[in-house]
Amino acid sequence: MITNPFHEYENEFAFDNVYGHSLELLKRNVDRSPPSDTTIHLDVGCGYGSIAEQVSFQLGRTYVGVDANNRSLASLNSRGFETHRFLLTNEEEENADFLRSVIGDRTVGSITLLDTLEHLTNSGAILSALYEIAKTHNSLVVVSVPNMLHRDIGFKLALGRLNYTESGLLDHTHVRMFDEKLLTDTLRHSGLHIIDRKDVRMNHSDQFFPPEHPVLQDATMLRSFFKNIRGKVDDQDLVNQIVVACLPGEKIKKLPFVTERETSRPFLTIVTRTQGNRIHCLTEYFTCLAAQTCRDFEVIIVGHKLSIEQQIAVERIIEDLPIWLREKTRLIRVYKGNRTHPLNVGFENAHGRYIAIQDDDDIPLGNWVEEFEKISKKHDGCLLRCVSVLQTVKTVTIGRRVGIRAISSFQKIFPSSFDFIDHLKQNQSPNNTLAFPRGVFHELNMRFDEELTTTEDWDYILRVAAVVGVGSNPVVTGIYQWFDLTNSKSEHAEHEWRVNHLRIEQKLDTGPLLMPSGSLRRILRLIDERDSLKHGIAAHPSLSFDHDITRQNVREIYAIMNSTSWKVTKPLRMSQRLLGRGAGLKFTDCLNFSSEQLEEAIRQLRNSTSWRLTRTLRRIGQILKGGQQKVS
Amino acid sequence: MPVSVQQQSVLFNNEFDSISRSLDSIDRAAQLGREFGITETSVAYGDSSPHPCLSEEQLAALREKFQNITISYDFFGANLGSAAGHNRLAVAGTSDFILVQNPDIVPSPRLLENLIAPFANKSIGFVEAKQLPIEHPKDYDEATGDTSWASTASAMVHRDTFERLSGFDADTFFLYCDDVDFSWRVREFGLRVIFQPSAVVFHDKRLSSEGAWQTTSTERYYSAEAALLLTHKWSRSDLTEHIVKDFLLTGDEFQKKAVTEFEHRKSANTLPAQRDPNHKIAQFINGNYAKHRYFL
Repeated sequence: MITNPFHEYENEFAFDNVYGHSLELLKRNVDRSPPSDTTIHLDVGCGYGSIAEQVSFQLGRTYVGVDANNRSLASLNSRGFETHRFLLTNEEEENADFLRSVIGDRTVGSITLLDTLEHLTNSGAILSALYEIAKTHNSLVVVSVPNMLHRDIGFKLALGRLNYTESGLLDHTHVRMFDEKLLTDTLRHSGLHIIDRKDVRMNHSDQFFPPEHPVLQDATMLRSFFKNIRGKVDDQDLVNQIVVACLPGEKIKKLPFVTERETSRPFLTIVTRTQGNRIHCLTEYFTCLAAQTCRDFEVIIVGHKLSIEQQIAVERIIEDLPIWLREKTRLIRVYKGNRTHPLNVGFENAHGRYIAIQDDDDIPLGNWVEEFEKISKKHDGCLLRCVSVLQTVKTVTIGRRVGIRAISSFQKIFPSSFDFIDHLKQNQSPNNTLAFPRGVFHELNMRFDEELTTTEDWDYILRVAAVVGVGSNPVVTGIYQWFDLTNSKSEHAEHEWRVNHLRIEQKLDTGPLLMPSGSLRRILRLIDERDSLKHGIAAHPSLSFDHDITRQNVREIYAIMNSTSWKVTKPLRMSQRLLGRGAGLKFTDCLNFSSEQLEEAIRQLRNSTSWRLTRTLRRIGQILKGGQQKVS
Repeated sequence: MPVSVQQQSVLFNNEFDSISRSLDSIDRAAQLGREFGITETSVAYGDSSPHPCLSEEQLAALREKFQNITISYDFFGANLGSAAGHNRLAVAGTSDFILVQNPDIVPSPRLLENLIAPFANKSIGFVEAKQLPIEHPKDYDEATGDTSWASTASAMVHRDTFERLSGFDADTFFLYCDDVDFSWRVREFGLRVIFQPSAVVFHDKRLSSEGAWQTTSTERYYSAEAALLLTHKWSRSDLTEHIVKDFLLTGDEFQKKAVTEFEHRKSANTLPAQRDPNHKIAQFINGNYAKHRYFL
């Protein structure tokens, strides 16, 4: 036990400090003793016994304090409480023997060990002693420790500052730093199992200094960014002291500290949602998985609200698989939540280093897993992105057997590389093009937003990309099948999509946003484009911003000529030009046009082969990207 | 009634991993096929490679691993191509049904059941599986599955039909369009050729970064040669002449080489006899052998 010559821990009882919380746990979990009862409360490492009066008055227990500090014991004695002087040792039996001698033939109803464990080089020696006593007397044990994970420590540490102090979270006499997990595991290893908790939370701990540190000043972007990330990881960022109530039980053999730094994992977990009503699609999907050139993956099928018949059908599909694939596949049934909930359940259960989503009607090419693995070697830890093409399909039945019939060519409506700025406007990466690094979900606790009923994937992509960045590969590795009759768009009202969009925008805009390198030049280019458009319009009085219709027409021409549809059909227009069908319209020419000429230009653009051929493409694209239709 | 199936594939420099990956799924399909009355499934490999694709040790390992099938292996010692290779494998077998299939095909678990079930209808002679990830664009009847021809990337035929038609026309076709020709002879014989979309197989094809179908030089040459031979054999000399002119005028090196080979056969009088004079069977539509639903 390390004692502190610089500080007397003479802290008063308050309902919202560690003493008040400990008392609350006692009151919640033990009965008040009747007046004649001799049951004692043993306060080990009692210090000045700040809870003594409360234990005696509110619980009716005989308070007994044990500590090595003469002054604190004298204080307790002067207040009429029984005390015993003892310096806790590293020997379990020595500790237990002393405590037994203190207890004598009395009954121990409850024990507290408050802010003491962190001073002990061998915490097991006292915990095991307390366990023996608690087991003998069926006692409740309340333990508190300072929380090493308070954000005031972490934020400063991340930026190169660590301050031990005379007392507090980083008291210089602390020899072990606890967080929730280490405390839980340490207690379990000694046979004490947490049954209740009431942590002390503090927005600003005693480590909230120096006040001029940018990461501590409330208004700084730096602090806001750290808070946003840290606050989502768990609820421990504001915990000053962890306060728990335990009961004796089985001693768990697993050591409380980390013994294996790395866990063996498959490269990829594939999470697939199914409602069990497209069994024939699942057959196709699994056949594609069986043919993957890289088999370093596992599959989680999340059955969402399956009926018994649907569950049996899905189970049969899995049972039919080749053994190697069946052994890699798990069915998890989920009976609540919207379509986003199964994703969180699937990600929670994933073992892979990366986690990808495939819908039950997606078609991965043979190199789908392999290409992700290749990108990960260059961009380890980033969000991985390949490309998929779209194909329209329908369901057909021949000879009472159901199958899928493709009814369109492949349409490449999504760009070959990931552009973060473009993604801010709309999603350009369908689920089957992405693999998320495990850490964002399992370490940073970034989950799919279950309040979103659509575009949950877009929201997640943006949040993840803004933290880990993206590694792209232009290789086409998947086919996104679009069903001719049913699609998610038809299942959701237009206003629902709009509301979800606004929510995503709002979420991203409430805190600082980390952007990938190269974003500055990208933004400058956008500003240049905007400025040149403005100057072009200003140079032509007929295009004055007062003239709404003219301005609208110019904008429409600009929108068409900058659309994906127009860009992808460039070769077509080039071939037409080669065939001598005119030089084609340039946007800058339009700035000299009269109102009538502008309207004619719009008419021609809308009637052009390029625009007509890509009409379906635009419709589907807008739906998939979750965007509002800007041009029709 | 219990039936037996021989799945046969012609190897040409195939990698062991690819064969093994395919067998993983074939073995499971064979196991599940028993529930449907397919009591015996054999896999026959004919190897047209310059050197054997499979060593004795590898074969032994595959036979040991896959207990639901019997595997035979015939190193041809010469490149017989697709048509002759499959004929040789078929002659060596005795199964009720022959599943002609590419060696890298990964079947769906219930493939055999889905391909054999249609034969309950005696009018059906040849049943094609649906290829993934890139479905063939040729048209088929959405209600009956009837189609112009079946691709032998994966297609099932009753041995009786195969033998009555003397198998593939190996004298005319080497690598491509032997299946088109065979399909048309099945239909000429009075049986139907159907596409079964519920019977799915994975045939590892890739797309370009622009999402376009990619062809190899081998495919381009033999497709060009087969186009000339097929139009000739099925009495569309007008198309043959048109293709010859087109290849000579605007064709690539493979197409020009195909014309040279065709002219050589013509002068050597080794072109096949013409059939279907009234154009009842063969379909030549926009350079394809069936109406296509979309472009690849």
